[in-house]
Amino acid sequence: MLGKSDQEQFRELVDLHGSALMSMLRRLCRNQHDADDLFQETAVRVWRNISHCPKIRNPRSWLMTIAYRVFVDFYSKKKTISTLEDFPEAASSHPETKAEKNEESQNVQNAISQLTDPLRQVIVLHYTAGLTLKETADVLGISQGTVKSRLNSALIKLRKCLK
Amino acid sequence: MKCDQYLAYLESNNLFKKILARRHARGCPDCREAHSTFQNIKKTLSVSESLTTQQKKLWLNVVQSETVETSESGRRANFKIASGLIVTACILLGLFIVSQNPEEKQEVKQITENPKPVQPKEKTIVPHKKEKAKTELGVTHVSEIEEVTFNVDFSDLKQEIAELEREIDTQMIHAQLIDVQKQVEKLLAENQN
Repeated sequence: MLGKSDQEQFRELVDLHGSALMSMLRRLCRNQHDADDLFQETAVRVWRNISHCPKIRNPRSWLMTIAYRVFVDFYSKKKTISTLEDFPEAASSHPETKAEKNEESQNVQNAISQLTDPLRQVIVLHYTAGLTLKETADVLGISQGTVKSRLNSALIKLRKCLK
Repeated sequence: MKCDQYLAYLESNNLFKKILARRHARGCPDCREAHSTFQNIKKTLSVSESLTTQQKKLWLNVVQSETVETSESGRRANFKIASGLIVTACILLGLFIVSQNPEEKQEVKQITENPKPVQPKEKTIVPHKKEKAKTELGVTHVSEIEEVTFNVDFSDLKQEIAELEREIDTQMIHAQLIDVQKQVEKLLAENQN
């Protein structure tokens, strides 16, 4: 039977890391609608796994790792669907993506969305999700050196875009 | 330190390298500009809006939906276990009854191995004298099978089935009690909120 502590832990996760999780998903998906779906799916997976993990050492990292896996699963499915039905989603056309009112941050957002997927994923996991270089490497299944080089490339590209 | 090394040093885990990068940025206008850009990027990326109540609700609703699903599947699993137990018990009882009478067992074995009518001489069982006089190929053999089948005592088996049915009832009541308990917990949690 599920204990009350599981519910408390579950609630605590969303209170502490929910906003970072949503930002991460939004930046990975580049649209609010998909981010909402993935957010819910992440909640389902977290709830299913929370009772099996009595003591989570790093809840943020654990949560973000689950969310990233949900994103990868979703992305692989979505890729096939969009190829079949041919309806690409306009990332910036969704009204909810205009949350960042600040012009500078909007520019940064646009620059991030222009990055290639590997570069964007590294930068989002490291800076938005708050994962360390090692955690980012573990989640993506690449070496720390690759993470560093991708991070550098991403920052250089972002700088060029923002100039 | 060169300008092209600046970013690698700044993003390094090594504190000494980070200090070197900052010192370099103070003296180099290009790297200083790059530093402020990177800081801006990092700041923008690390800022995240707080969740809306709807999004939070979306997260918390998962608990209710998943709990209901779990209890339903648990009940189904209990029912499957109980059915499996009944079937296994019946098989075991049948085997036990057959093993109690080795002659009958041998006969049944022979019958199952040779479903076609067999010559009365080849059979190991001894039919009744009166019947033996009347025996004809194929006909007497069928009556012997019927005799063996109807002589089996089912009272133990029936008792076992009744016990297992009682066990199923108990399991179902237990599952219902778990449901009620969860609903009470949910209501209490809602009241606390």
